[in-house]
Amino acid sequence: MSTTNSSVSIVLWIIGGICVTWFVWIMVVWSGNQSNYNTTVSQESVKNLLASKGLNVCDQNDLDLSGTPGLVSSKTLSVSTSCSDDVHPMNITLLQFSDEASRNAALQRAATTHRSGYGLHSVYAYGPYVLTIQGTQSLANQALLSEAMGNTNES
Amino acid sequence: MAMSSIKKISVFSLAMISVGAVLSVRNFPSMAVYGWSSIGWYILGALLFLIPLTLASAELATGWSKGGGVYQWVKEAFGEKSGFIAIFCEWSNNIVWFPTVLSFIAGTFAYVLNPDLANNGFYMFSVMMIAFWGSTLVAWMGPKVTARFNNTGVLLGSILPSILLIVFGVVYLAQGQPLQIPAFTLPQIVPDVNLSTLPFVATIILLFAGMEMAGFHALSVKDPSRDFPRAMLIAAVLIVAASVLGTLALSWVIPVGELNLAAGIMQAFDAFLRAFGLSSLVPLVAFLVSLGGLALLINWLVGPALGLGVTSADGLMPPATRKLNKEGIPTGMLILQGILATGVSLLYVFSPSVNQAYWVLSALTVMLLCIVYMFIFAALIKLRISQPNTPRAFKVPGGLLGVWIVGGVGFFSSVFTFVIGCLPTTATEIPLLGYVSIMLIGTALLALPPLVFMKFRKSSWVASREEQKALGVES
Repeated sequence: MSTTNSSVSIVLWIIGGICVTWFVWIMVVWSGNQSNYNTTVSQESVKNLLASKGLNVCDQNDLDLSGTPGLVSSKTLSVSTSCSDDVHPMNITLLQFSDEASRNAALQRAATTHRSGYGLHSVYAYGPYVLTIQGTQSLANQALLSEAMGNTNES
Repeated sequence: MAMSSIKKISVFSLAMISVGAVLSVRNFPSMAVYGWSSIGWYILGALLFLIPLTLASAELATGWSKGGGVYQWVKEAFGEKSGFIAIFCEWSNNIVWFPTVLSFIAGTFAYVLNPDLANNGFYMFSVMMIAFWGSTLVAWMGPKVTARFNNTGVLLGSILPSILLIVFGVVYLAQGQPLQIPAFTLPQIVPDVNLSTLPFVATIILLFAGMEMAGFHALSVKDPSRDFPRAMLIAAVLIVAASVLGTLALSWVIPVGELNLAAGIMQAFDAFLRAFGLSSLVPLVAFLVSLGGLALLINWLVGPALGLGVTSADGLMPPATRKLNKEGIPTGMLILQGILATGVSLLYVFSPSVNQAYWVLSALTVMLLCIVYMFIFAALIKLRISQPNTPRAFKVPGGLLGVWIVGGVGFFSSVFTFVIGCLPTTATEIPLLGYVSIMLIGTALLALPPLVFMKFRKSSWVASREEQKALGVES
């Protein structure tokens, strides 16, 4: 009787192992193509990328985010498809980091602040830069940003 | 070891379990971005989820307080298979979620030593493991020690930082310094709910996830029927008050642009303290916030493991899983979840970049949690209909209609969040249909192992009457 119990337990643990393996598999497969950190990306190339989708930089301001590890510069870009007074721009925060580890740590901070980040923010990586949008923003502009960043293969 | 002979905890300690599992200052900076409307968002979250979950947990825990929390409630309503799935979902979502909270603790603690350490994988993994296995050790020592640890963590790590923020915010106002958000008008409280902010409602709902955690400890208070509702009321008031006022204090002092999720919450606290010339307090605040993170961790670490341990009393899992230590803690479950969480943390920290897989898995945990809440709210309604005469020291007010409203709103909120969880939240190269399929298949894989256990179950797995008595779950 105890032998049967042991066999069943072993089977159950194997099934549990399969589930864990599935976890590992999905993580490894997708993490494989993530390390494409490109140091040649400049602030101008970020702006050009946005402009390619019609998001023009209407205004920009320096931000004080001192105390952030590895941060080189931080700016807010007000972007819009039309830089006129009657169109509400979308604010994108552009953070530049000194190295890949610092940039990735910033991405992890954004990912792990909440149990879920639905609608709370969008975060993208492009070279040494992290682009974030927070708060209420136009859906159309968000879609354009997502499309632009999707083209970098580094989101 | 008889559950009934284990040490009892106070009403305050029970309230702190819920506060510890829900309240975290790490939510404040991202909510402060919304300025005055954060009040409305919090109220919306409280109406749609916190209040329904608090009322449902109070009625269910005072009617069915035999131990096992969610498992016991759902089992009474829909049978042991559903109860097992519900508690398994609550437990399995934690395995993936643990690296999230552990990384938050380690990243915050880096500000005590050197903020740059947060970029070092070996530092992060070491601190994450010390935090996790240290918390497991505390849990091992039993409810009394866990409660003492949790009380300290919540008071120092969640409530004290909230009070500090609020006091400094009031001082800032009293000094006549300029507000960083527009002057208050009543309409500004109203949240801007539209198509673009609809997914955010799901995040607001999940801010209050964990209120049910005290239900796992219903047996640990002297008089569950009297003490549980009191504890839930204290917890709910504390959570809402601290969240609203703490968030507003941040929004008054720090410009919106400087509240950046990627920069991290300690950067926000740094900016806040700098406004008062108190930058030197950053390491102390970081230490306190890390303690709050540990309180959050230990509640999610212990509760579901306790509930899953109780399932084995019904013979749903092999006898080895119901082995308790002398403090009534299911040690096998703690070790198993520790090993799994260590493996996931290892991959999380040392993967070459923040990988899409973790985002996907992270979204999966939310969906599993939604399944738990759907079961809880459905159980509330079902049990009021099927077992109207079972004594409950606390009843959702308003009779059956009240139960339908409370359960219905909570159930709808959970379904809504589940549906939002199926959709990609950020740029992904996975096509929409593929993403939804991964979500649904992944959820099924993580939610349905109980069916496998039940398929292989043996009559010899059922605990004897003596064993059930010892586990405190005898019929």
